Amino acid sequence: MSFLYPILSQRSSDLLVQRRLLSQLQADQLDLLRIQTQISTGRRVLLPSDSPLSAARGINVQRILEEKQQSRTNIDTSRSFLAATDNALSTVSKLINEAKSVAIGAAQSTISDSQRATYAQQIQQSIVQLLNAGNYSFRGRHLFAGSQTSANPFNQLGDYIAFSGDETLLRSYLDDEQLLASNLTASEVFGAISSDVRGNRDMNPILTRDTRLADLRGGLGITLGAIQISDGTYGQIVDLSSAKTIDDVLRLIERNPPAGRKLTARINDFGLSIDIDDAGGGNLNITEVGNGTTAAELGIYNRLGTGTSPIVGQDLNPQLVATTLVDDILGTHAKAYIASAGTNNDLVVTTRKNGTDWNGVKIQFVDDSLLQAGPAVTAGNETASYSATPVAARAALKLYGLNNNLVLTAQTPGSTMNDIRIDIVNAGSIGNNATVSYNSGTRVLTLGIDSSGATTTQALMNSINFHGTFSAAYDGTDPSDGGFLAAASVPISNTGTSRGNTGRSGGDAKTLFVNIAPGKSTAKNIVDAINNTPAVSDLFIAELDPSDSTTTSLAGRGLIDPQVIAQTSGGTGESIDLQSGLQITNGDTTTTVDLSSARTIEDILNLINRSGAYVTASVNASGNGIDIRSTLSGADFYVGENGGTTATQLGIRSLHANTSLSELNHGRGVETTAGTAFQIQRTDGVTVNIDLAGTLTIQDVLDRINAAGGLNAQLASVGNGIVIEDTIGGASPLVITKNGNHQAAWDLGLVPVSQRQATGTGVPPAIRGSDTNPHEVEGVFNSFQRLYEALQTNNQTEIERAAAMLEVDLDRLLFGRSDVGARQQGLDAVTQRIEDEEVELNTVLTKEIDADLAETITNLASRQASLQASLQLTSKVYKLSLLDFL
Amino acid sequence: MSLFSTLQIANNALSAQQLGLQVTGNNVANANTPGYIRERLTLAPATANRIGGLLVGLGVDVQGVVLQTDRFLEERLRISSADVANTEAQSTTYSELESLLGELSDNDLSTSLTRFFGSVNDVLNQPDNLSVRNLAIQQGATLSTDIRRLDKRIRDVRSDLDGRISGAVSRVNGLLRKIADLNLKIVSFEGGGSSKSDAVGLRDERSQTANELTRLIGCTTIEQPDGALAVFARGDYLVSNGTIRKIGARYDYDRGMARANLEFIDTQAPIAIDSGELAGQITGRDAILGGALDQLGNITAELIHEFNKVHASGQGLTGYSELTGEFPVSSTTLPLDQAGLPFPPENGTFQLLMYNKQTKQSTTTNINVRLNGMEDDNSLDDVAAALDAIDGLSAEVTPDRKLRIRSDSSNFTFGFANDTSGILASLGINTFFSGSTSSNIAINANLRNDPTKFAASSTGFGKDSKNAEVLAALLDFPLPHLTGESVASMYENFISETAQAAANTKAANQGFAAFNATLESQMLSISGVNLDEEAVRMIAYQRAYQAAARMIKAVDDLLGTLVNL
Repeated sequence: MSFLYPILSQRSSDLLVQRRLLSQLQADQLDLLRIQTQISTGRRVLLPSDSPLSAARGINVQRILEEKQQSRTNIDTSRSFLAATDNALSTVSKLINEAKSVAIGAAQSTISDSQRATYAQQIQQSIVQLLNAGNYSFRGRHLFAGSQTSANPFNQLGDYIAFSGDETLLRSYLDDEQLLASNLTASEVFGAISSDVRGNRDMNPILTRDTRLADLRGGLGITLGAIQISDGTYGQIVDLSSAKTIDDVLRLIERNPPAGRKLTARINDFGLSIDIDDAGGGNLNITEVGNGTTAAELGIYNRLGTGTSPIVGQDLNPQLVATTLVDDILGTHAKAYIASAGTNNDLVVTTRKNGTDWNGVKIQFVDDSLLQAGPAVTAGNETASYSATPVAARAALKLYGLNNNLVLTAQTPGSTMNDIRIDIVNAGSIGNNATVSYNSGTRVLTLGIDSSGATTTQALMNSINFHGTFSAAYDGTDPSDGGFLAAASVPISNTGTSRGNTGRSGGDAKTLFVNIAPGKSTAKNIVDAINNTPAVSDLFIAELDPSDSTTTSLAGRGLIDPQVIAQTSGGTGESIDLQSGLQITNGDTTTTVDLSSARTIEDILNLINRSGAYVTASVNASGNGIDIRSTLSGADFYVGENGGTTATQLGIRSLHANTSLSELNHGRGVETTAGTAFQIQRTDGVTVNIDLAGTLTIQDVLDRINAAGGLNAQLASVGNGIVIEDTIGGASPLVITKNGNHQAAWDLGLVPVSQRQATGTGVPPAIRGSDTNPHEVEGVFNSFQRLYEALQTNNQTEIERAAAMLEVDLDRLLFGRSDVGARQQGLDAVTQRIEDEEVELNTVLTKEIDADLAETITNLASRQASLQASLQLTSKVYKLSLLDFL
Repeated sequence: MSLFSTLQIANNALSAQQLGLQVTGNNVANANTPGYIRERLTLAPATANRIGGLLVGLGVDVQGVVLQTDRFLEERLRISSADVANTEAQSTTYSELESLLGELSDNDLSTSLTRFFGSVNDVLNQPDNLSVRNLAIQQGATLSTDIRRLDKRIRDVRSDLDGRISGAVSRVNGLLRKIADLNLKIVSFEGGGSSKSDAVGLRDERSQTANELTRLIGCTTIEQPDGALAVFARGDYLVSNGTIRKIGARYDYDRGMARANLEFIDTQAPIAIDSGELAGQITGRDAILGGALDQLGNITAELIHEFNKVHASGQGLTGYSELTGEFPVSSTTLPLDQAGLPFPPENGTFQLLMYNKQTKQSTTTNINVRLNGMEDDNSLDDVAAALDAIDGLSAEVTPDRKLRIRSDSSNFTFGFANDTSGILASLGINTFFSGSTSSNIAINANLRNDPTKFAASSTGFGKDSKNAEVLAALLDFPLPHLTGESVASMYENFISETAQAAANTKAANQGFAAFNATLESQMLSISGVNLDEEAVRMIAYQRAYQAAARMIKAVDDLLGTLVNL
């Protein structure tokens, strides 16, 4: 260790001199050693602690340099893939140019058949070469297969080319946080997947407790923070930053009410609804905390307040995700809150189907003990039933004596006969007779019997039936009564008020009955009864209302109030028809897709994707609908119904009412020149002329035809196309005739091309038109295949269309190539930058860590001199001694 | 007054000068003896004798031999040498730690880290290439081994230090015994201060022993009036006269290894060691190496958890048919964030993907992990039940409280996605790294056996490489819960903090050493032998002796004259 210390003493000793000289020598030698190591390693900083600041910078720079090294590897790999891609694309570009010249050549009507056959052969060859280019594999990667790189993405299937890859971009890091794709997708270059059919319908999924906050606002999500809920006097800050689902938000809000208040947070179909207990008064308002936006984004920001009314939030627009239930789209479920006084006993019944049809379903609790003489249901064994039609009220009469129990059923179905009391009175000595009277004011049915027990069961039944308000039958539910005996007596001991009661047993149309044991049945029992009865659980879901639960263990344990009658409301929209399914026609094959097992959107997509129809279905980019796209080039592609409304509801019917006429026939459109387009001869022999002037959509055409009367024109319920049905029922055939040169009947597919007329078939007769709105994969393979087919059939229109498509293909390809070029240039630029940076970084590293040789060697020389001096000094000092002079 | 008395004076003078020469001789002989304290003969004129009206001197009186030293300086020197020893021990530990870390070389941990993340980058370059995935896993294994090796080496150095600390016990006790023995001897030799002479040699020895003890444990020494040296460690006495308090070692468990703590055997109270070599070694063991282990552990834990969190949300080329979580919970019914998991999860959701091998399609199910701090927060049992409810999947909690998931049919495999709760990484499901800290980090066995499980995709099995994009950038990704620090910057901070502390300790050591040398030089200037000085003294004594002899001769001549009368 080299350091200097002062000489503080007044006296010197030999040991001191010796020590000082030694330490000086040590210091010099240590320094020399250090310098020697610096020179031999070239490093100034050997251990980080030699110079912590330099070392920290050095370590950082070293790591960045190591990362740059990796960036270079990444860039080199990407560059090699892009170069290979460019190579493949140049082949494709050459092939397209050749095909274009073929198409232009063949478009001249003067060429011979053999010349055309040669052309066709040439195109066929080109398709093989195109396939090779599309399946090009480099370093084990099929360049255009997206992420499915291990297999050939393009395969010839008869007259079509199927694409089995995907549109994934394979990206790697260039430098720092820059990502660059090293591939082009087959859609970008070849147009391997059709752009249609894009879903034309917003599925508008409803909000559920499980909806993730990230999926709200069309996928924008919620900026999580805190909100303040106040009753006008006390504010409470609710921290929502840990919330991930709507359920979390609702719970956190309910858990943090303003001091002394109770908040109820619920879902209101598409938004939230926050309510405060009415008893405490005040003015409920919700504001942001600080500069937050959480309350506003959750749609419940309300600075002015709503008194004690609930704050009803705005539509949160949840996006369609794989796990969205099919029940939760296209409308809302009707819902009923069945609230009893007290806690832990409220429940919510939701209909499974959407729509207004399910509004107004009554939920009634029936005291089961009133219904039959036999044992009633016990708590835990409640039963549930649903009736769409009115149900008659009934009441059991459990009579003293044997063989005489009766059940009375109201003659008028519905709830009007509910809560009718049945009294039995002594009618005096009337013999084997009975009196029956009904007072609709007091709602009491009075039965009179013989004072000496002469009235028989049969007589009582006859009298009731004769009276007509109720019908009576023997009630055999209590075996101890011994079975029906017409002559069994109804003893006078039976007299008394309220011997029976119809209770809530009668119901109007659309009533859900739950038979209960009053005073014993809990909310949880009711939920189980509804959910465990298959016929009922198919239609309804019952849940405990979490807002009413105090703790998990107590939830639903509270007794329900048997008098409560709840009614569903809030159902809107429609329910999706998944029973009928879809019909997908792709090329020669028509596939029926059965969607009946689908529970979620993902199930629908999976069922479509695995149908083998060469289509790919996915949730669209805006997250509100479904796209279904073809991967089969050269084929016509249709999506139609299979007898229901599935395709229309999912918005994926390829020909629908709003399809513009100009899109039909591969964009050639429909002739709508003024004047009679076609004539329809009805079954009554009358011929109507249809003029299509001014029609724009399929619906316009249908309206025109329907306006003629006696005809019902609509889109086919199976497959696609226009169907014109006769509604008159006459004897003449239904015939549609093309008018002169007007092309509309052909263009709309009502009359087969090259024929003049078509005749209706079936009962009632109907003309089933074909779908003239084929979709196709707008890509290179399609154009080539179409050109090949057109050359074979000498279809000039198709040849010209193919030529035009090839032009588009070439543009797309050139765009792709220029993209590759731009990326390669980008790579070069980044490489250049990395090289520059590496030089810079190495300079820094050298400066911080490495030894400056000139400086080090100078140090070495000076240290050497110093050591030499020390040594000389030592020897000199030791020579001096007084003893020498004695 | 007589001639005889004059003769007696001369005689006294002769023996005094002889003694003087002896002391000088002793000094010259010990000129190079380290720790030797120079002696001096103290002479005084003998008491005068009244002869008539005259007071006549009676010659010289030898008072004693005293050590030329400064007791306070000696004490300061001891304290200072204890400081030097303390900082030197720390500095040594730092040097060892630094060479273990090996930063600035090509084989350090930071290189291992960048190599590993580089290999994940390579997966992005060629996501289709299985061998590249395998390489990433291998690099992960190398990184794990490097971290474990570093952890183990630090532990080795720690346990070596610990051995030295416990080994010092007998040394300390021996030194204490020796001081006590010497105390007794010195007191009896010096007669408890009644003699004017110091117990030369014994004192030197005791001083040397005290130096050694102080260097070791940084104790304080106070010399008592009777010449005994009392030794204290903060308030507690270690040596008092002839009695000592023995110290012993008691072992406890710290950071996964046994640790010796020094204490008094009689009271079992810990002994305060504020300075000295032992203090430096204890600091080195507990603060420096222990702290380094803690930091390495933290960095590794962040690396494991952050990497696993992303990895667990992704999918490999294939799914699992059976999987058991790595980490057990402490209770299957407690909320998961209180169930003793090494990385507690938070409120959120994750998705389970069921993959049908025949249709090559997967079905997604959302699983909620509710951790809102309310009474119905989810436990492992709840999550297992939710998973078990999925068609075709069985989930259960094993007897050792881990989550096990199985597919019911060989047609179905399963995987995971979009975990916002971190529960999968917490339970050790679909993770890349296994273990929870630097001593046990390794590669998840599922991955090691099957590289297709490397979760590069985020949209389904073998779909894209978006998950790997996140993984590849994780090293430098600012982590929100660390206020923007990344794993890389954490590691760099660790290194530079270590370097800074090492440099500080080194500087402190140099400062103490310089001060110590200054004190030592002062000490040497007081106690050290100067041969020239001794030569001068020798001549002086020699000449005085000659003069006294002359006196005797003169008196003899006078007496002769008298006798010959």
